[in-house]
Amino acid sequence: MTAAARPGRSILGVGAVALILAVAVIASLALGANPLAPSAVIDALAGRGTSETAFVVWDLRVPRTVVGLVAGAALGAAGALMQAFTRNPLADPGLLGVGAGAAFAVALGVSLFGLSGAGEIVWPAFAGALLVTMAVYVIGASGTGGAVRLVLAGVALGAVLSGITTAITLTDPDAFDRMRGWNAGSLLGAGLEDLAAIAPFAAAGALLALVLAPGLNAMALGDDVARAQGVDVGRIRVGVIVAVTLLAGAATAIAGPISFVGLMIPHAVRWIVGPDQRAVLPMSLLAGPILVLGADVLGRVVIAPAEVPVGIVVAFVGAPLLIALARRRTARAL
Amino acid sequence: MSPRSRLVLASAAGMIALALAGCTAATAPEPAGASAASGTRSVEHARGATDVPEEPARVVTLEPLELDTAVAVGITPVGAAVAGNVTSIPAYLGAEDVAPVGTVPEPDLEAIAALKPDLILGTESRHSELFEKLNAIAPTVFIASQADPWRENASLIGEALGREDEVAELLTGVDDECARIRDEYDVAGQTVQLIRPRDETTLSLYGPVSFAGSLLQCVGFSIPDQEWEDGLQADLSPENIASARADHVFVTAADVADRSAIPAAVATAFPDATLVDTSTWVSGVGPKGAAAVLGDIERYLSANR
Amino acid sequence: MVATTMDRSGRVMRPVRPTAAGRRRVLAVGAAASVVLVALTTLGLILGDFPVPLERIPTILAGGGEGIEHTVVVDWRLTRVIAAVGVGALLGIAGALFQTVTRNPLASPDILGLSSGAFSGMLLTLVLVSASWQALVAGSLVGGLLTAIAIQVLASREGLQGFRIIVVGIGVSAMLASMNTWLLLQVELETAMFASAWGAGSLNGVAAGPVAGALVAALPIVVGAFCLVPRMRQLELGDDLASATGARPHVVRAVALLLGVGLVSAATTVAGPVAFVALAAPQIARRLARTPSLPLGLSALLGAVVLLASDLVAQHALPMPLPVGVVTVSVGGLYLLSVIVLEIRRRA
Repeated sequence: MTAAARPGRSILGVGAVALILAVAVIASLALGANPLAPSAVIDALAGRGTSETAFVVWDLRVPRTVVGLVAGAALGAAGALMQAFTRNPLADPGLLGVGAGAAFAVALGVSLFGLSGAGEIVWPAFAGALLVTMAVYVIGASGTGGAVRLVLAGVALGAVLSGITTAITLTDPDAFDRMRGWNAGSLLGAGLEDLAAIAPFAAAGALLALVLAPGLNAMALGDDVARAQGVDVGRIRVGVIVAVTLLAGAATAIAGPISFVGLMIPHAVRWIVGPDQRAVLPMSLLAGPILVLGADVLGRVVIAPAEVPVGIVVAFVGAPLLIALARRRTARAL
Repeated sequence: MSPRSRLVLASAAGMIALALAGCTAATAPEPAGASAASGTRSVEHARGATDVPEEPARVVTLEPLELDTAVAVGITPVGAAVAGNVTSIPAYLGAEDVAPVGTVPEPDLEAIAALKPDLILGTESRHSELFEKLNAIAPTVFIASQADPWRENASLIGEALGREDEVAELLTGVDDECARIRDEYDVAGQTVQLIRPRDETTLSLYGPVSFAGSLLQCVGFSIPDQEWEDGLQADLSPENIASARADHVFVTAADVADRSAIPAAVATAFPDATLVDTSTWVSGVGPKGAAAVLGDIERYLSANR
Repeated sequence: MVATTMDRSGRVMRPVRPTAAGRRRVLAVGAAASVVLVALTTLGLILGDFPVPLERIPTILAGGGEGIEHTVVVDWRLTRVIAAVGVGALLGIAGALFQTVTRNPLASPDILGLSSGAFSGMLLTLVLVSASWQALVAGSLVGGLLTAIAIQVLASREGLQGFRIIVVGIGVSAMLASMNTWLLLQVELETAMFASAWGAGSLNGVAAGPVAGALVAALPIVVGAFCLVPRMRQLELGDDLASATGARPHVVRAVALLLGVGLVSAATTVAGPVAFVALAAPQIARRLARTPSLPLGLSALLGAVVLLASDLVAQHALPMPLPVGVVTVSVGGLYLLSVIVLEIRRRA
């Protein structure tokens, strides 16, 4: 069923998503642990505020909103790619070992090199995610066998790395302390300079994802069917891995491991626009930030004056949604 | 293998396990060869009364406060539990040849036994289920909880070590030092804040009941009111950094020379914040740690007179 | 998407009656595993910071030996070895049950939310109630069981569907894992590290009483699992065929899951949530014995071997001791990786 078959719902859906995204962005700027009045926020945005409000708005809320937009979009798209590619609605970018690779690299960095500042961790995290996904691809990809072996390789390598990471953190209290904060995910980790440096990778991944969409549609019924239609399955596989790595790697590098978005968003998006990847992928780019920003805002207000980290809130918000979706009907494959 | 033979195998394995478990339960552990009946005294502690040697020579400590107090009265333990497996004995103690015997939450029993100690000091709130095993190695004394006021715990530790008087002197010494600094620098009425950065979205403020907080207050500073958890600390989002404002701001760090470790929120709001060492201000609970903290405070006050 | 039993390469498997040759192979593998187990047990009794020469072991085991020697070898090391063997066996059986019931080779207590639930229960108890060992074990049991029940309730509408239960398990697991991360941030660093070590699965400080209690309690469950094997074999034909032959798939699945949960709970009271043994042991058993059917006894044996070997490595291989769960996760992952690489080579 293509998006064209039910245009009314799709257009309404897209409009609703865009609207909710705008609301999420506004909320992310207006709400927080510090109860600033809306007029104060507007003043600060216009450059008129006090130094305190300017600090809160420009140094804290604007960067985390931007990071939330980029990370949310990247994770949503990565999840849609994974689920389309593996033909498994439970697939998540983490299955390729992205999170485990980033965590391993961060733990090494903290314990061996004493890195601690948020900006210092971004590049090791990205490098770790990239290297591990490459290793997973080298180990797991072969001519036949499809996605199953890749996922297994990702799970296996992820397990090995998570074991070593735990070993590192349990023997080094500084590393443990840093990692338990990093594990919770945070939109304040990366500054705007780091974000500017990493965003191009995410953008490249997003573009690649959109290019792959038609091929993924063909693969929905099986690799053989796709080949019969003339699609180069091997090339698509490489493309998906590269795109997922760029997207999920960038997101994990700037925001830490936020684990539910890639799993949840494609389900919701498919419910709105149907299984056509040419619609699902762009919509996942739009819908992902809603979950991330919404969770971040919730985390800021629920225990003010302190905050709950975004990764924790996402799981708490996302899991009931996922369970509700699973109960509504037998989960559709795509 | 047919289901029945598997069943037989499983039952056999289960029987063996039971038999062996029975064997281990049946043999009671003999009490450790303690020092001779003479030369011991009885100490009341969190797990009842234990006979400890009059002059303990080979002490193992499982809690940083116990290590600090022992070193402060001149008894260097033969073994101590450390914070983590790659950390060693804190440098500020100036103690040498102390063998690590595992971590504070998970001490290494065999390493302790291999040292052949004659006194073991531990903590009931952490090591409760290890008491019998430790007592089988050597007489063991437990403080109730590391969160209790440190001076009371230090007194009990002094008693177990046979050095009550020296510990009492050290504690009075801390109070005297506090009073001396208070009189010399007269900071009455000035507020102070001790900030410990946790991660990007959380800063912890330390309250009057915490170790360093109590020392800051005894010197004459006052810590602004917050919603303290058990009076110990309060968490804050960096958005609310302004509410941590005070006349003097201290920020804990692992390396006091590295100002880049200060989180952006704190550096922007309090550019003049002073860095202090986490290993003494947060973890260095004990007479020597208190002396180090008071020394830091005095250096700060004299530099900013 | 229909869930089917898959082997590594994605081929759908059909259940096969064990042949005579197959049975011999299983017996041979079992015997070899038993020998390895005995060797590992001996190692477990002689290795350690407290020096005990090999020749003294038989005397000490028979009841002799001076006080502290006896304490070290029998009260500490032997108890720990028995705990490793027992917990490993329980986890191996539980994993085999879960994987058969959900028809998914990746099904394990971790995915079904039990491990996260047990850890969450333990953390909540640690933060809210007390740090005493009994409280923590009780908390972890309650947490694990409540989680399992919640997953069942949320997942089952018309009987248990292997697929939905995994989705719900992932969801509940993720929620609990995030709550755990939050709780770990709230406590002192040392407490958090201790809790983390427990959460990784650790045999440190196991005592004879709880170990014996858990194993005794688990014994009837193990017997029940073995009795269930023929019924579960029928399930592998698919629900329709199974119903036609008189088996009741929903009931069998529910019972198998319950037994599995019971085994995992017993194991968790001793060692906390140890990862990967329940996942890997049945897979290794299947591969070594080359049987697609359910090798329950072999899974138990191999689970014991894996866990005991991992515990020895965790204690002695590195300069600092680690919780056994860290090693099982790494080793399990390495094993899976090697399987994948070997299979690729074989095909290429």
